Amino acid sequence: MRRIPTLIAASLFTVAFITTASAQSTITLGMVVGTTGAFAGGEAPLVNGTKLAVEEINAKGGIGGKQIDLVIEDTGSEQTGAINAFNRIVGQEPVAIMNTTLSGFVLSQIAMIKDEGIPTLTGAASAQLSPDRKGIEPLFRIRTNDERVAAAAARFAAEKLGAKNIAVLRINNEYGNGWLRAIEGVLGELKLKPASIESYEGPDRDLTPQLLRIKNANADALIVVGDPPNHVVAVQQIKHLGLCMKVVLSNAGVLPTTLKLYQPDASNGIYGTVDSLPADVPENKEWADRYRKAFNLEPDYSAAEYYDGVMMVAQAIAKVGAGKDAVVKELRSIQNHKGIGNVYSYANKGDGGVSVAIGQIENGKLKLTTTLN
Amino acid sequence: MDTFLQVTLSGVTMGCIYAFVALGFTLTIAAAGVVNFAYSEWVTYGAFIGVTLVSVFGLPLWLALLATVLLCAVMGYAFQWIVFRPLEGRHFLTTVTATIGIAVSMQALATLVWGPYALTLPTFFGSGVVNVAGVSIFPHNILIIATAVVLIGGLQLWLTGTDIGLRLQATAQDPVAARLMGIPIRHMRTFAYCLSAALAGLAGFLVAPLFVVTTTMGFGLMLKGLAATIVGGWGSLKGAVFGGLIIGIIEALGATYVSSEYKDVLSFLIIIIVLLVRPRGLFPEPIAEKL
Amino acid sequence: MVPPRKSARSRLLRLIAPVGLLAILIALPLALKNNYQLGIAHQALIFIILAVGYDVLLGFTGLLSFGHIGLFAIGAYTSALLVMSTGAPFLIGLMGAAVLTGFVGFLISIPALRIKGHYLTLLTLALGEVIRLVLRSMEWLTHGSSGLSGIPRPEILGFSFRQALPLYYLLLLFAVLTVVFVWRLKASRFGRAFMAIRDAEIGAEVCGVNTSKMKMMAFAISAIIAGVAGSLYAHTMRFISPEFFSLGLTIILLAMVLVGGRGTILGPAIGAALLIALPEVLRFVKEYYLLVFGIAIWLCVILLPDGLAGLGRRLLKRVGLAA
Repeated sequence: MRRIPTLIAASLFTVAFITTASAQSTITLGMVVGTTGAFAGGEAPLVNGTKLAVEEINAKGGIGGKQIDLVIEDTGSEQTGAINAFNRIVGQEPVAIMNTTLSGFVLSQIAMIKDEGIPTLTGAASAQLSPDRKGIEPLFRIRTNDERVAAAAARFAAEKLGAKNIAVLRINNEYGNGWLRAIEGVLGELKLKPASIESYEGPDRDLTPQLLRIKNANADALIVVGDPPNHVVAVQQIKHLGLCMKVVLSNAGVLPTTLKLYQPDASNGIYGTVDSLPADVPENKEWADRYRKAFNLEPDYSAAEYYDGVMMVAQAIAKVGAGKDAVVKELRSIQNHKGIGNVYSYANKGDGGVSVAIGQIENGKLKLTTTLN
Repeated sequence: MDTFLQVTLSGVTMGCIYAFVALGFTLTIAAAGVVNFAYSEWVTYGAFIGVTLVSVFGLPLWLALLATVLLCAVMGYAFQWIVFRPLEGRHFLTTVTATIGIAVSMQALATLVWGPYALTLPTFFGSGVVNVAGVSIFPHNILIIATAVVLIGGLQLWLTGTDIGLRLQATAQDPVAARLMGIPIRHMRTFAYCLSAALAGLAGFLVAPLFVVTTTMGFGLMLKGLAATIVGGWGSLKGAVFGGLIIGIIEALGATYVSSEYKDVLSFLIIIIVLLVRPRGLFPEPIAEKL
Repeated sequence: MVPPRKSARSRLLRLIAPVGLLAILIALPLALKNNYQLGIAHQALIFIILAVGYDVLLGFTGLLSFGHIGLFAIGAYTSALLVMSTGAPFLIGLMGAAVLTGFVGFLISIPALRIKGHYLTLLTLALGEVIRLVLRSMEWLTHGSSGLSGIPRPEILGFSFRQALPLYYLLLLFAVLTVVFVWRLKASRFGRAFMAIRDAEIGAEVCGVNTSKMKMMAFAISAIIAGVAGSLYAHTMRFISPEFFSLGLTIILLAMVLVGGRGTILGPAIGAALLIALPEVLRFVKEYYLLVFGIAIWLCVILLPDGLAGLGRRLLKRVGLAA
């Protein structure tokens, strides 16, 4: 009779031993991203890209024989949630952290990222996070920063579209204002002045006043900066009001999920900025097919960039081991690393990605017009 | 002049939407003393239900609209038993917090059911535009304005003209006296809740093609609706409607002629001025509040 | 009927509950394992201070203000800017925040004298939003929507509170001071005047209470406390931006006071701690947590009209530890 408790104890011990033993044979990759809340839709591709990379690496035997364990903590699309999620992830002792793309959240985490020193990769685009401003050693941007994208949009409008009176309609937050500064800078260099500068709040759904002022300023091109719902309203109302200027949308306006929301006759001919169009490059076909099969979605650059980020981390760990300082140093030495979504440089105060592409909407899909690097 | 007319048109359209929201919101306040902060979610659900009926079930738009309104009325009825009855007669703040909790849950549920991505609804008239005297008129806007006029005008006539309408007003003004006069309070209140929810569903459906259907769309509308309710005079149905229209028009004109960057500050400043000049709103109820 | 004399023994018994609570709070960090949990505790303590101050306005004086987060923002920005731009020590930043926010609160109270009830709510909502939008548009000072980052942790007389543990005790000290202050306030003639205004304003006037002066005082006191909370927030989180001080936060603050029990002293503190900790505790329900959270708030408010503090009081009464 006494054998049974002993047997149970023995089996429990064994199970515990096995689980701890196997726990030591995995590497934890942390991810802090919004899986719920207002930004969950926009951040889903990041999770997809990360998962695709993790599965690929694990299928090939993991890193140094150890499988990658992806742990995702939810920010809830709130600033406080982002801080708490980051703290929780740190407690899991990850080798690296794939962080949210919301610049405001990353800024609020900056002090902690610095304290912890764990290599943290983010798709946040704000120029504030660049190494010569508020950026820090362990923070790696796996994107092209706002300044470059916005400048590319302005240059495209002025040089390729030949516009002389460029108007800006931007969301009144850090993102929109960052774009405005970059656009004004480029226009200044080209000796042009903006035709009209308008702003709106995120929840606003009537842009008629702003668009009419832009019309009255005789703008021949308009750059719209905002989140997906803002772009949908803008495109719709531009059509209603019969405005016929050339339109360039910021990245959120030409995401696959946003493109689905436009009325077809309203969106044709409109341009948009992206870091890249990975699915359109022949050499990425296998990757793109795999993505489509796994997630039933068209791949976009943000998913590709997070995929690239995981790959870069894996390569660094394979080379120098999983110690956080070593990985940070190794990543910092990367120069012109060509990934699927972008070309990355961190050496010499490099700010991550440099690739920008402009596409034009045709029947609900984005067709590549030009790339500017 | 073109600009002025165009902007006024869009301002009046938004104003009508705010008026719908304010009206529905005020109905439960007037009829049952219940401040329903979950109203914003009713509007959101109206839009989402509409999108589901059209995109998933393939219903034609008119039918989807009717179905949405009916489903929302049913939701209002269900809410009465689960949420509102326990709250009637309770302190205003209790009701506010309880309905806020419900709103948070409903918003979370919406994300779970309909996913995190935005959705849209096509309009009744396609995306064509009519040009009249230099002003681009989007037929959907006219539909909203026409519906507002018909519905609100009809409601006004009904409330003051018919028996049931007068009984509803009596229930709102003094439930005890109404009960003593033999008016079935419960029926009146049920009716008010269902009507309030139906208005929310209608507003959500009508607004969906203009806005983008997201889980947070109701909150912004509700804020303006709340402001309209108070500016117009708390508990006053007429005030709610006028408040909504005024806010919509001022927003549009302010953004056009003053500055788009400060238009929100402008709207709030105007609200502050209105309250300072008329501390009980523009059309205060003749019944004095308990001091 | 003459109330029974409170014996020394029963007075002592009544102290057990609050003292016991304090002992638990002092020992709490020993149970909290990591920076994450201490971080939650930091946030809870800051919101305890904010909520207790807010209750002076809402629970004691019956004035429902929806602009309180605007005052919180002013406190945060004032303290951060004072310390970062002029190199002033933390305590100067804190006092500057308290003074300026208190003054703004006093200014807000002036129009509020004429306006009552729901109209006051809307007025304060509009004022709160105007404050936030103005803070955002003053880019030259506040960096606008980019926010202020790199705000240093508090440092008092050379002792740095940069680490999570000492910071916890600093925040706990401020929270305790706030609670004690509000406790004495409630028992004072000011507290009685506030509650008279809440329950029967005209009656209070008739009895000689200077309602205007008392309302201004209520606004100013709750504003000063909000300023202190704001300063502590800025220096704890090390980053502030206008987006954070939104209307959504006002609603959370309101829920904290109501769930905890308005008009009580510890109620808002319990509500604040709960609403900060609950989303983290509910994490195991993953994507359903907001759903559960909302329903929890609803049930709490329906079933417990006096809030959690009322429930606590009733339980303690049964055990003989409360009056």
